[in-house]
Amino acid sequence: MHDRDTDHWQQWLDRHGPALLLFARQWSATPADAEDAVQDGFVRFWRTREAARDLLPYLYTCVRSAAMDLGRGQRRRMRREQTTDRREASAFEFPAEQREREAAIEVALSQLPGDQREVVVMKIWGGLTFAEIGEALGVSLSTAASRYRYALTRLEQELSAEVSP
Amino acid sequence: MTDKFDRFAAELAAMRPRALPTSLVDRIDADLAAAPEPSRWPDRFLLSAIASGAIAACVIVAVLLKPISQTFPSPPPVLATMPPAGSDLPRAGDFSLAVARAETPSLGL
Repeated sequence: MHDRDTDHWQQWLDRHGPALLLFARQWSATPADAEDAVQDGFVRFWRTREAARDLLPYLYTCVRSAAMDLGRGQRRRMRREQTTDRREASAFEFPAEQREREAAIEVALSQLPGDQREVVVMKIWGGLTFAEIGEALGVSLSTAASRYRYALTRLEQELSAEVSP
Repeated sequence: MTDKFDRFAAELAAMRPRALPTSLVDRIDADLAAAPEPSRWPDRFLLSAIASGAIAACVIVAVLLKPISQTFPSPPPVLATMPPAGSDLPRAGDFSLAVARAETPSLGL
């Protein structure tokens, strides 16, 4: 039940916004769609947060739900793509000296199955516990943990295969 | 979780997701400023409706379970008693017998 005392939306957005945007990108066709999902999901979260038992999983649930809703509405995506400039494709801020390795990690991450990818994002960049991930996704704690384990194993295999000649 | 996993997870965690664009924060700000948070009156109305229904149900159950004899007290039973033989009190049938005697002409007169 952490973060319950943080009652200003900008504090929530500062703390969780980057991870939420990365999370939304797992479900969105374009960066613009991911931004729309964060916008809709966060506004929905903020207006209905009093009903939530645990706020952080609820925030992720709202953004995930908004991303899925937006994925169904193709017209909005087309409209936004026409009116906004194309942003940089990468979801991470890479230091120049690590650009190659981290770009490879991002590619490997994008190739994970969706249910594993979202657990990795929530765990590593969102800082959620497995119990919170399970609550957000509607799965058990052990399912969330095993998806995370499978995902890391697969990421490592992908990256080591890429490094080896 | 093995150390290898932990090292790899730490490497991933060291990658920083891109910050939210200012335009997105502005859009969220505008959305939250545009429409106020929904009123809680519908919730309160629902709760009071549920409470009223529960109270009404309790009253109905209490009325139904209350014994009928207490609700409508029956009058005390009337016992037909016969005056003891030889008393001067009139007995059932005395009145009609007296009327019949009065209307019958006396044959001896």
